Amino acid sequence: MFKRISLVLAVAGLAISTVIFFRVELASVSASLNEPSKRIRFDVAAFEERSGTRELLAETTVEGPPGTDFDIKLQGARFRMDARFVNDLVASESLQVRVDLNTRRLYGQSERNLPLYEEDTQKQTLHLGFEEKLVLLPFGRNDSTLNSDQLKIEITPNLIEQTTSAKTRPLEIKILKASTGNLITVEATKVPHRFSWTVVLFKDGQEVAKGAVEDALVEQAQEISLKPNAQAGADVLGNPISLDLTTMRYVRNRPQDQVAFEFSLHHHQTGQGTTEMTAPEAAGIAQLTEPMSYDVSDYFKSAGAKYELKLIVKLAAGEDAK
Amino acid sequence: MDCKEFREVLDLYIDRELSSEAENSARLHVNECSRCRRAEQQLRSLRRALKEMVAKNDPPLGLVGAVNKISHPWWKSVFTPDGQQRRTRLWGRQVTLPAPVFAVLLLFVLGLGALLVRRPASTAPTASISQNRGGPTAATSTEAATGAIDLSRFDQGGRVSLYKAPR
Repeated sequence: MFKRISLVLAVAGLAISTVIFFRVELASVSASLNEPSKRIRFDVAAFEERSGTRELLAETTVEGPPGTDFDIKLQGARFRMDARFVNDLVASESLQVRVDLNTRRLYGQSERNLPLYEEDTQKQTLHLGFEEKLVLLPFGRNDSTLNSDQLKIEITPNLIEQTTSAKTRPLEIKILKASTGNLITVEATKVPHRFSWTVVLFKDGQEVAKGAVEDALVEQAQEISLKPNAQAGADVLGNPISLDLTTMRYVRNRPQDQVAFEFSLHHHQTGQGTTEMTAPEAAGIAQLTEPMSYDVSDYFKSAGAKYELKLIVKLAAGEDAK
Repeated sequence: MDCKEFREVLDLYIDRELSSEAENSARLHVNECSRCRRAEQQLRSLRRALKEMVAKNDPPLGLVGAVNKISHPWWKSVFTPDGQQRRTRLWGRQVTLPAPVFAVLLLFVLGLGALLVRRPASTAPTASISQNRGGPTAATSTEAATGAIDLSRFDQGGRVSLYKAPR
């Protein structure tokens, strides 16, 4: 009798837990479907301005999920501009836009009839609200010559909330007005921007310190402190280690995508309060979830011991490699 | 001179190509021998008849020029084998120069040619750079011809600028 009651209770408990589990799962799936997913549309318009009047030369829209990047290229006979915009939605109403501006202008010709170019590279990081826009002046501000023509490219972000699963939609580029002669071209890409890193220090094959960062943005330096564990000796305990790690870019590759990164290893001298950079400017390209090993024995003073640094990169939660 | 010898030189006798002594001997023989005299008259009448026949038919116009070209090519008028100057045009006349003068002239011409070829590269590197900013160039003309917007009118040499602005 007691066995029967126990069996019935066990079956009932299993059934209840199963129902609860599936209800929770279904509820979360339903919530994710009904939750407004965000997409961002950038309106890119090129104008020619003169004496207060403006004429639209080209207009394009780029729409995609947060993290959609785009390039604006301006190609003339003697001038070329490549502007790369790496975008991240850092808050509900704020975008972080990292811009690489590269220009190249034909300056003239040498006495040997070789072309001479004037090149310029700028990097900027801007936090942009959706009530703001970016104004790009490929030839700079011509304040001194008010009557001269000025080329202006305006980039206006728009936040779009959709109830459908917007993540499954690919990014879209719409050319509303094409420039003559392919003067201005716009390209858009969507690659992961956020990564989680795990860094482990091994001494003679035994883990002695570990550090991690969960949400590292691409092209943004992160400091990862390695916390010594119980197996760590005085060499690690006395001199805490940290990494300056920068995820440089996401590389599409087969069979698996890769991540390019740079890092510097620092030794913190406790007591003296100074920081010693022991392995500066190391770099590598790692496959996702595959550890990258670096022999850093030369940077520790313990003679005979082998120190190894392993870095593992994964996509951050919410990132999609597709 | 007997009959056999006369018949051997009969053509030369008629053509008056014999030496004076041979011609006198032949003339004496003709006066004495009726058969040789008759042979001489027959040959003269034959030649006359041939000339009359040929004179009746003019050759084609092109044939005369072609034969003249073959017999008198242009270079024969310049390089005369016997060194005598023929009547040629001014530009076709033979010019003779002493070998040293010719060598000096040849060196001068070669040196002048080499100087003209190497002149752009031999300019000092400190010379000014040819700058064509702002003005229309061949490249911009090509751009205009293809229908593209001429960017040079925007280009005052400024640096690219990016800033935020309210919408």
